[in-house]
Amino acid sequence: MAGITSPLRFGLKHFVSKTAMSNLKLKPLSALTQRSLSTTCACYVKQIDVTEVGDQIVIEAKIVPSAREKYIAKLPTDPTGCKGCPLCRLGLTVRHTDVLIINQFINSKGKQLPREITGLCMEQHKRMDYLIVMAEKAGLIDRDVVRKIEFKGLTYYEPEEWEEPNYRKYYDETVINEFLYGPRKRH
Amino acid sequence: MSATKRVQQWLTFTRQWWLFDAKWQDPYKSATVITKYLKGGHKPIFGGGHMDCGDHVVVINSQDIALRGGDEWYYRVYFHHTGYPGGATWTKAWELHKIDPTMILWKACYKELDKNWSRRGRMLRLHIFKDEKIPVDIIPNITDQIPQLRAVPKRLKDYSQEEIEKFPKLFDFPKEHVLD
Amino acid sequence: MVNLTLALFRNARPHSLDAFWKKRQTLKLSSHFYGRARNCWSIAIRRVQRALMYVTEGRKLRKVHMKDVWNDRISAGAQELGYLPEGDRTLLEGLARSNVLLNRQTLGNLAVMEPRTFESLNKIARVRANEEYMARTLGPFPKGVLGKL
Repeated sequence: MAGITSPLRFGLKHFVSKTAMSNLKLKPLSALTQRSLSTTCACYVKQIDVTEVGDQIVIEAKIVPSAREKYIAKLPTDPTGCKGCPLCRLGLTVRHTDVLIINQFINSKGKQLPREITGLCMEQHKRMDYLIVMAEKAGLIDRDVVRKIEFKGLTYYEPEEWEEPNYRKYYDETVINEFLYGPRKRH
Repeated sequence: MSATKRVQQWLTFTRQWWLFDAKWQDPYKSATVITKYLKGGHKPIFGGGHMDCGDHVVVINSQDIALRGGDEWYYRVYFHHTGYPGGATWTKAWELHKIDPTMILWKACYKELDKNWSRRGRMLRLHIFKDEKIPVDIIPNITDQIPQLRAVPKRLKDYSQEEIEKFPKLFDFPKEHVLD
Repeated sequence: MVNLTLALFRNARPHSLDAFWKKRQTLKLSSHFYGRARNCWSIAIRRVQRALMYVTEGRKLRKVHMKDVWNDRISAGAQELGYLPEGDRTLLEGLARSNVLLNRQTLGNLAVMEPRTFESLNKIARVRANEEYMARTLGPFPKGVLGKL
């Protein structure tokens, strides 16, 4: 049985459909990674203060603290020896239905944030990667990402709409263990 | 049998009516729970398959069932043969669900029950409805609810912006980070 | 020997068993069969012999079946008291640890006939389970959700 990533499952008409082509033109993958030059930090909004001392006029740009700062969870000391990774420290088993947690690890386009920013360990980072896809395919979060499939030296882009109606799906998170550590041992 | 004992007998073997909300539930996993109530396995008086102590189950929202992610809507296939040569048909789950949104749950329960003559009678006590509209004569019978197997997930859209902002955050952005 | 009615003739047996009376003993066992297996000797004797073999198996299966019935009754009684499915293990373990040595037959009968007794036994087990931090007994049970799946 072909998996979902196999392009053989899509009919040929999907590859030339208007939606896929428009995706190619408007949103190439490189556009998501490229970043135009920016002089100010969008996260830490700089506030401009103008002070007059006699003849001098001093214009300062002060960094305003982020809105997130108030709501950051207090992390306990790590029981497993995994330093720094917030998910390991809290001992959380995140499921794909926990959209409020998953939402923190993606940007506005729906792409996963790098490890330097999130501070996740490699295992949790990969796990979160699967969870984001699961949450999207279950229809719980919206993403604006073009999924590329490489097969036998050719690249395909997944169509936006399937031929069949989109019924409800749920995912079993235990399959992630199989993706990460290989198939389960069966006796 | 004395008058009081006779009433006790009636009360013990009264058929109860249960409600089950199939929203975001796996039909094949919830079939194991539903058939337990159809057989009467949830009662202590249950003593094997020959006991006639099964209950009625009313299933609502059967059009909102959820199958396992990946391809299950496409590879779950229902076979039928008309009896004539070339009369075999294979219907995918999404095709069957399009035709009749109560059929997948019905078939799952039918498959789950014991294969004997009591199966037909038990299936008559299963009432499946595709949405929350139940006939008026059924509603006063319902006494209790079967707990769902999975919690109904909430979409990110359904949360308010304030809820998303005030939810505890696991990390803060570094100083030079540019939001995009 | 006086056989004035047919009802008494059913149990009649002479002191010396000739062929007729021997067959009569076998045909009594086949009297509830369907079709010619009831009265035709050559079919009836084969069917009766097979039926007696089934009975021998059934004597063993009956014990297994009764054990299943007791387990079903205990788990159903436990679920009425708020345990999860397969949560009756906690109840049995709690009873064993609090030195209430009742077998499954007794507990199953109590669940059917004396639900109040079963409930008070549950309280004993539950307190013990809470003391020893056994699984799934700490805190209130969730509403509407059975557990992780």
